[in-house]
Amino acid sequence: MTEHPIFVPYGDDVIAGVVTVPEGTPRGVVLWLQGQGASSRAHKYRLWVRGARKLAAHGIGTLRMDLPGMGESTGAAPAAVDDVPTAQAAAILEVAMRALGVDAFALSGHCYGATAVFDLAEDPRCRGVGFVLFADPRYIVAQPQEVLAAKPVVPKGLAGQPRWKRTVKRAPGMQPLVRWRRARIARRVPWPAEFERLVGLVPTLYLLLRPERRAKVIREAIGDLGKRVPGARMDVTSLDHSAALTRMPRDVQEWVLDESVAWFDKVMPPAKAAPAEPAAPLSAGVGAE
Amino acid sequence: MATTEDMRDGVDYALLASLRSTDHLSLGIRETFVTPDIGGAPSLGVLAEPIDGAVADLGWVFCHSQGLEQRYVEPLEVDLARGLAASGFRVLRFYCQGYGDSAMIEGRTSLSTHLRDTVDAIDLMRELGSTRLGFFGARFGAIVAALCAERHGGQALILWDPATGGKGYLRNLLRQDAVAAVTLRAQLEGWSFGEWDGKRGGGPDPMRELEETGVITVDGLTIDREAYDELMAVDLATDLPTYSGDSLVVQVSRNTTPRADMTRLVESLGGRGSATFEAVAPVKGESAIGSARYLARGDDPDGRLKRDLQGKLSRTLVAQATGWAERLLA
Repeated sequence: MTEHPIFVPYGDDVIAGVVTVPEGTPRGVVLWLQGQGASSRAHKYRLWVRGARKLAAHGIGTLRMDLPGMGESTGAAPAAVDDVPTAQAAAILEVAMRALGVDAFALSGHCYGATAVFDLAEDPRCRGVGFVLFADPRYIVAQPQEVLAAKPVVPKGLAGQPRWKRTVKRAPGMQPLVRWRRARIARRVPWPAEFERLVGLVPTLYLLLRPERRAKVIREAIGDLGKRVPGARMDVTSLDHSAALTRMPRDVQEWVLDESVAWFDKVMPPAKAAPAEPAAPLSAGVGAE
Repeated sequence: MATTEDMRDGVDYALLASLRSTDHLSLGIRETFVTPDIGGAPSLGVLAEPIDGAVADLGWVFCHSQGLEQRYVEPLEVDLARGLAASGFRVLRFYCQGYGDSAMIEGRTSLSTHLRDTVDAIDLMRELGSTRLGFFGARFGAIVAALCAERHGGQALILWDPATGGKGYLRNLLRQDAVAAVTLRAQLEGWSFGEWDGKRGGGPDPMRELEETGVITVDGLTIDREAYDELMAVDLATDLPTYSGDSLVVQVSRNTTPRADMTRLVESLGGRGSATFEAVAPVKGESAIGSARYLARGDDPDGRLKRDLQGKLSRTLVAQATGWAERLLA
C-alpha cells in the first residue's frame, strides 16, 4: 500500500486529498467524506486514515479529501447547509479514478460530507453509499427545524413548558409512552426525495451510532423507507453509543471501520485484469536511469 | 511519458506525482506535499514557499498540538503558514507519528515523541537551505516549539495561547473532559441548567484510572503514566535557560489582561532575547483556540447558515504574526 497526496485544480482553487493505492490492481475507490467539525481529511481519531489502510488490505483504493476551505483545500468554506461540496468531490474523485485506473467507486460519509453523496451516486459507476449516522439520516438533507415542523405546535402555557414536560417524562411508567410517541413522530416525518432516489439507485449502508432505544426508532424508519422503494438494497446496523464523535472509544471507532470495510468489500467489484506488462519500457522518461 | 514503473498494476503513479504541488497565485506562494521520514517512518508535510523572489534564510517549523486540539488548531496553522510564506519565508508543516497522514497507527504519542519527530523536520528544513530556524506552536504545540527552539538553536518563536506548563495544561484537559461528559449526560437524560445532580458524566475518575491502569483517555488523547509525568514536569518559564532569540507570545482569551503565567513566560523569554506579548480576544460569537472552527450554528431563523467561528480570530492572529515576523526577514 502506498499513499499519495494530491492537489487538484478546481477553478481558481485547489482541492487537496490523499489517494491510497493498494497492492496489485485496485478494485475501485472509496471516497470518504467527513463533516466540517472533523477539520480535514484524516478525520478525528484518524478514522479515515485507518479506514483507508484497512480497505487497501482488500484491494480497494481510497480517496480522502479536504472539503473546500478546509485542510489544504482552498476556496470558500460553505456559508450555508445547502452549499454542498458535490462538484469539488466529483472533480477530485475523477482524478483519483483515472490515476487508479478503476471504473467503480463507492462513497462513505456523515453530516455535511454526506450531503454530497446524493448527486455523486447518480453516476452509473457508483457501487454503493455508506452512511455513518449519529442521528436520523433524514437530517442530512432536511434540517432539524424542517423535520420538527411536521410536529404539532406545542401549546403555550404550563403544559408546553420544557420543565413540566421533563417532569412528566420522568414519571414512573412514562418512558415506554415517550418512546412510543417518539417512534410515532419519526414515522410521520417524510423521507426526503433524495433518499428515495438514492436507495433505488445503489446499495446503501446505515451505520447507526445511537443509544439502543433511539436506534430502534431510526431502524424502523429506515425499514419503512426500504418498503416504500421497490428493489431497495439496504443494510442497517447499529451500535449502542451515545457520544457521537465527541467521545468515541477505540472499540467504537474500530466497529465503524470494520463494518464499513466489510460492506465495501461486498459491493465493490473484483479487480479487472491488469494490463499486460510490456516487454520493454515504454519510454526512458525524464530522469530515468 | 510514463515508464513501466510509473504504470504498475494499471495505476498512473506519474499522474499522482505530478499533482503534489500547487501555486496559490493570489498569495504568490507554492505549496508542495513532502513525504519525509519522521520519527523513523514515513509521514506527510506541506512545504510553503514564495514563488518569486528570495526565500528568507529563516525557515519556520510548525509544531502541531495533540489530541482533538490538534484537529481544531490545524485550520489556523494553515492560515499562518500561508501568511508567512507570502511574506517570504519557507514554512514546513508536518505530522508527527500518530497524527494525520503519518504511517504509525498504533503506539502512544507523548511530548517525547513530538520532540523526537520534530528533529527530523528540522533536518529537512536545513537540507532545504534554511540556515536559521523559527518555531511555531499553539497550546500544547507551543511547548513542543519552545523546547525545540531551546534544544536546536532556534532563533524565533511564535506561540499562540501557549500552554506554559504541563500541570495547568493537564488540569485544563481533565476539566474539559469532565465538562464534556456531564454535558453528554445532560443530553441523554434530558436535564439542563439547574438540574445537575452533582455526579460525574460517566466513566471512572481519570486520576483513579491513571493510578489503576496506568493510562487515561481524555479529549481524544491517550496518555500513559510516563507521558503524564513528563508533561507535568514542564514549565516553560524555567525550561528555556539558553534560548535567546525573538519571541512573540499571544494570549488568546476573552479577558485581555495578561495572565500571570504568560507574564512569567514573557519575562523569562525577554531576559535573554526580545519578547513581544500580545493579547487577542475572540469577538463575540467566535470560539477560542482549541475549539472546532466550522459548525452550523442555527442562529439564523431557518438554521441553514454555516459560520466560520474563528474567521476574524484567524485574520487577526495571522496579520499580527506575519507583521511581527517580517522584521526577521533582514
